[in-house]
Amino acid sequence: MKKGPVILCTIFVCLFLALLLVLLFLAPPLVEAYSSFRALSEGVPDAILIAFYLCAVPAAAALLCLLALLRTIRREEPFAKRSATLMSVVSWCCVAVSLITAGAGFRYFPLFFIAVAMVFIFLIVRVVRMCFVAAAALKEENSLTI
Amino acid sequence: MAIIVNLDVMMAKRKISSNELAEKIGITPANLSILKTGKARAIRFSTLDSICKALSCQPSDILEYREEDTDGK
Repeated sequence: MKKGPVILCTIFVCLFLALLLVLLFLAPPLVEAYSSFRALSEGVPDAILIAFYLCAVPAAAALLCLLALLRTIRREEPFAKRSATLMSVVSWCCVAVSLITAGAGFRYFPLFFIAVAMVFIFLIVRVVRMCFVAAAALKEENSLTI
Repeated sequence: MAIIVNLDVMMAKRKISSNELAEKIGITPANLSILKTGKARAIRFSTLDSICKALSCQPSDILEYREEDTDGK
């Protein structure tokens, strides 16, 4: 298996984790600057900020799960039950972000688009997870064929 | 499962060790152990051929069908 794309993905996931960590500190001034730039009404910046901090938890969990998943792929054992579990966690993290952004969307409408996008990603991850489960069953069958 | 693997019986009859048989038929001792303990899901014809050749026996000497009870015991 080519290791290049896996390493590239790992680097990007690490970068996103770092970005998330930086944004945890920079979010308040950034949201403030954005709200003054777009002239958002009162209460909207707070809603965005609360949504961001609530979304940071599932986002971090999803990124850590992706790192663990990439590690199993690097070890050349991607079709294990653990991979399916990790993908399940990622998919439910997408649902959590979707629910949070949908709630915040009532205060700031563009957040609804993130909610819809997250539901779409949830569906994609669930389908890929089902493929992984089927592949794990095939692999087990194959390894128990002597 | 209703298929019983009697490989250990044939091995005892032929007085052959697991490692020796594994080497003769070209599979790992771990895979032979899976076969002996009945954990295997399937057996390749090529493996069966090698086992029969190594033990000078018929497939029926190694594999046996026993009807299961309705409750699966």
